Amino acid sequence: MKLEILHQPDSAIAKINLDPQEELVAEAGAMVAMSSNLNVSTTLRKGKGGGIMGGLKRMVGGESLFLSVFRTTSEAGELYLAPKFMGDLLPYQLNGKTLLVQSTGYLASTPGVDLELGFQGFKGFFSGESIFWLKISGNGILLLNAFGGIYEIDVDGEYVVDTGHIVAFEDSLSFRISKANASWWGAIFGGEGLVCRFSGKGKLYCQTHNPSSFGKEIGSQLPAR
Amino acid sequence: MYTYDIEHSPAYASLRVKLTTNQSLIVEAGAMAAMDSHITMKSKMRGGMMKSVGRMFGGESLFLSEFTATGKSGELLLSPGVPGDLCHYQCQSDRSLFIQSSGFVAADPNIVIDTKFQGVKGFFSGESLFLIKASGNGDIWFSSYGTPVKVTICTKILLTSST
Repeated sequence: MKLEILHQPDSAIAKINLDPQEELVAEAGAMVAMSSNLNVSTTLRKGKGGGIMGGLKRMVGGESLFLSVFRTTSEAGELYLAPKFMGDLLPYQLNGKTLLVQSTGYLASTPGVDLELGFQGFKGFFSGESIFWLKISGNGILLLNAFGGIYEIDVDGEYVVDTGHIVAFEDSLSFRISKANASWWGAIFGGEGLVCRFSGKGKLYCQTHNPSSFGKEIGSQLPAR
Repeated sequence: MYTYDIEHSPAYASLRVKLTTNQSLIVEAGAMAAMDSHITMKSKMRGGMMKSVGRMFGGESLFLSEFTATGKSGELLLSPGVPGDLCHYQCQSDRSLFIQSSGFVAADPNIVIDTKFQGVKGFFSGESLFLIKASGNGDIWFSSYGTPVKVTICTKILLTSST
């Protein structure tokens, strides 16, 4: 497999050259274009945590998590994948590490990568992301997407990220929700509200822009349907 | 003076500011994306109630956030609500800057941020009725939806409204 990311950083699109008999798993709806000899199938779940319990969790999470599987036959093929929001793409080499990814941050992965839906509890609810997070482990390449640019932060100790800006973080890190201000008055009226306070040692990936702020900004200017 | 970097420009520009020990920065409410954990934030109605209400009319929020690196230096990451580019401007006492109402991102605490009514011409300009006037001495950063173009005006230039 050869992965190339074009048009970075604002409208990134991934060009993937698959060798014969190779497979790639991607988020449903991510395919932009592909060679005609590629076989596409839809699967419910990949890797661990499938089965009935996995299905139930998925239902509770309000997420279908259908995945598309692209497979080449005896010939090589080409595939273009792009996320829904304009922004950057980041290939991440898993190598046995576990990464927690906010549920819209996943774009594609190689077959050795396991996706599992994890519950982050109430803090997930306040994080500005979905309550459910993808716990991604195994070996292979994982392709993440973001709204805006992606930047990497080496956390050693503590670090603060505004809600809605998280893409993914290594599981050696944990976060808690706290208020940005010393006072509740400021936290509520100051516009910053709640923030995620990360602690531990590991890599954290953030997106430069916040999809919900963008939505708020342009929402009122959209024509009525 | 601030050490800063504009990253991911021009489509998704974000501002990385390094604050020295006990240095403060005034930031548009809600623009903070990430920061070192020892930076403290305070919400302020700067310039008193009336100016704050004026700012609200200007399309900005009533409150501004003040970030301070307490005890040691720290780094702060800011990104505006809409994608686009960021610009830096050096305000001087004899040179103020007018900014389109939602364009303010961050400024030196020495800068006075005021709202100015534009009258009928503001109404037809495709922007808000109010503009932000930044005066004083110091650094200021502003953003735009898309990339701003710098035009030096000598006589008269016709701009299409809503740019």
